[in-house]
Amino acid sequence: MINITINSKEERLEKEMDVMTFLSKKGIKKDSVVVLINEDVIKKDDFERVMIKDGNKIEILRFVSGG
Amino acid sequence: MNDILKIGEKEFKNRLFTGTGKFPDKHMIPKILKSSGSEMITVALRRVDFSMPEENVLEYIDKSVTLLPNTSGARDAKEAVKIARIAREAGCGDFIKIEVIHDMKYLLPDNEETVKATEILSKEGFVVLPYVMPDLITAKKLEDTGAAAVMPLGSPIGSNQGLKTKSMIEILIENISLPIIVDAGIGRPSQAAEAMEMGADAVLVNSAIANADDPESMAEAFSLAVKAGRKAYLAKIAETSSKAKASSPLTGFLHD
Repeated sequence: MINITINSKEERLEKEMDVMTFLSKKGIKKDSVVVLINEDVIKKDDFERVMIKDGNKIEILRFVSGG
Repeated sequence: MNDILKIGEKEFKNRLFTGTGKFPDKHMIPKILKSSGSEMITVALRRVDFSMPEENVLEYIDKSVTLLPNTSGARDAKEAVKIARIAREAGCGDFIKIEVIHDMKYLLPDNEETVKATEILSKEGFVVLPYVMPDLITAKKLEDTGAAAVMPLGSPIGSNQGLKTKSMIEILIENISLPIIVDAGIGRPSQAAEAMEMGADAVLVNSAIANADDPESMAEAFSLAVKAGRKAYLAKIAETSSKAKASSPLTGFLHD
């Protein structure tokens, strides 16, 4: 088990996994989000390569309507 | 006539900028962009809500339109800078609207924090469009810290009150060399025309279009108003007078 935070909420994952797998588990399409791990934006091309590890602070953001 | 508005490296023929906020149906966004011909539109950045179906507002915006992500949600310069950097990293381009607000009643911006964020972001190569309370001293600081324009509010966001800060905006137009884009509070096309007649370089309208019964037509109305106001400004409006000045001859009457 690993402990991470997602959008400031604590969560546990059964193991380390790449960003793409993580998003699939959450039912989120990769094209619609911006992902940060420990304040760094992860490029979409790297989603399958970059691993989410114990202690990571994840932010999943998206562009929304705004004035 | 070549009346282009240059901001950063981009050239805009259309002086009506728009926003994506408040549309009940996002499918209206491409429609208002088409009917108005607007070439720049704002978006915001938020955390995904896992319980709600997600949508990417960028899908509704044609690639030819310049994206203007805002730093809404930022309560100080540090938070604004963070949002700007994320937006750029996410592929939104270099344009950023700095919006630093911690007053939740009137949504009035914090001019001081906005200047701080402008200084940091302009050094990092952002094209900074700061949203501010119209104030000459602040505007001069924005000039000095590398802003690409100044965006004074006409009245509180979404209030539709029009140009309540008119005389302060006029001071900016007269004394600041940067493009002045009136942003917030414009409630009707006549107010957009008024801003352009005064010499504003552009206006940003969101709520008044999104909240209209027919946003597509309203967007077109605003676009026409902005064009009319700009033409009038360039044609040099005649002076006002307290007395009448006859428009027909005062001699040769058909009576003695």
